[in-house]
Amino acid sequence: MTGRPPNRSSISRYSLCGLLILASCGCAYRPTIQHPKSEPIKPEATAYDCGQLDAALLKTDTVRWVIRDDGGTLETSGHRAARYVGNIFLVPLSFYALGPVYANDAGSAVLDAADHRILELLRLKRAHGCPAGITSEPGMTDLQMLEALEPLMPDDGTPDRPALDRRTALLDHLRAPLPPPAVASPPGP
Amino acid sequence: MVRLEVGLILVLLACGCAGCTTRVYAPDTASATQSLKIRVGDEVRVVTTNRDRMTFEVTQILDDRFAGVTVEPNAKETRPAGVDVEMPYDSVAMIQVTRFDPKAATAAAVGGVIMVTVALGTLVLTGVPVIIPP
Repeated sequence: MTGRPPNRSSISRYSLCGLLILASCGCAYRPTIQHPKSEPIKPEATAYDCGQLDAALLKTDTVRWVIRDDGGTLETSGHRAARYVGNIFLVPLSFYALGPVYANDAGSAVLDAADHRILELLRLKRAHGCPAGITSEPGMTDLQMLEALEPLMPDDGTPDRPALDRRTALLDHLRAPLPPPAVASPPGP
Repeated sequence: MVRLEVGLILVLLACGCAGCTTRVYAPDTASATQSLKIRVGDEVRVVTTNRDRMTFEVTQILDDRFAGVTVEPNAKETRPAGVDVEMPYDSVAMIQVTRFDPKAATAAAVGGVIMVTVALGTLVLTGVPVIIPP
C-alpha cells in the first residue's frame, strides 16, 4: 500500500482552525475592567431603608451594565456542559498549537450573580413597601418587573434559552432613561 | 530551549508586575467605599452610577470624596490624561484599585528566584533542548 504520507503541516492547520473556531465562542466577551462577582444580600441589607435600597439597586445595575457593555451573556446549562467538554479537548490541543486557550463562560457567572442580587434587592423593596421606581421598559415599574422576573428566575432548576433572553431583556431596561450628557459650554469672554 | 524561554517570560512577567496588586470592589454604600482605605498614590479605575468610566491617580482624600488626576485612558474611557477629577464616595459603583504592596513584591522576588532556578536546573539536568513541533 502506497498511501500518501501524512501531511503534518495540513494537520496542524486544521487543528489551528478548529481551535480558533472553538475559542471564538467567547470572543464577544472582552472585560475592560475586572468584573466583580456580586455578593448575595448580607443580613444588614435587610435593614436598609427605601433610599438605601434604591442606591444599592443603582450600583448593582451599574455593575451589571458594565458586564453587558463588555459583552457578557448568560449561558444555559447545556451550553455550560458543552463548554466544559470542549475545554477538555481544547486546552491540551492549544498547548500543541498556540499556547493555553480555553472557551470562557462569556461572563455568565458574574452576570448571573448581579441578576440575582438585583432580584433580592427588588424583593426587599417590595417587602418594605417602598414606592415603585420607573424603568426604561414601557409601562412597567421596577416592582412590576420583579413580578415578571420571578417566574424567569426560579430558585431551583435551570432556565432555558428563551427564559434567559427574556430576563436579560427585562433587566437591561431596569434603569430609568439616563439624562443626556451635559454639553460643555464654550468659555465665556 | 522552549522551557527556558517560558521560564524567562514568567520571570519577566513576575518582575514587571512585582509588588503591584489589583483588586476590584462593588461597594453598596458610601461608607463601604470609604472603608476601602483608598490611599494617596493609588491608581483607581472607577465606574460611577452615571455609567462614567475613568482611571486616575488619587491625590487627595477627603471626608466625602477623593480627588485625583486622570491618567492615560483605558478602553471605553473618554477623559484625556491630566484632568482633575473629584469622586464622591456615594457615586462609586465599581472601583479597581492598583497599589504597590511590599508583601507582594517580596513574594514576587522569591517566586522569580525559584522560577529561574527551576528553569536552569531543568536545562542542566535534561540537557536536551525541546524543539517546537512544525
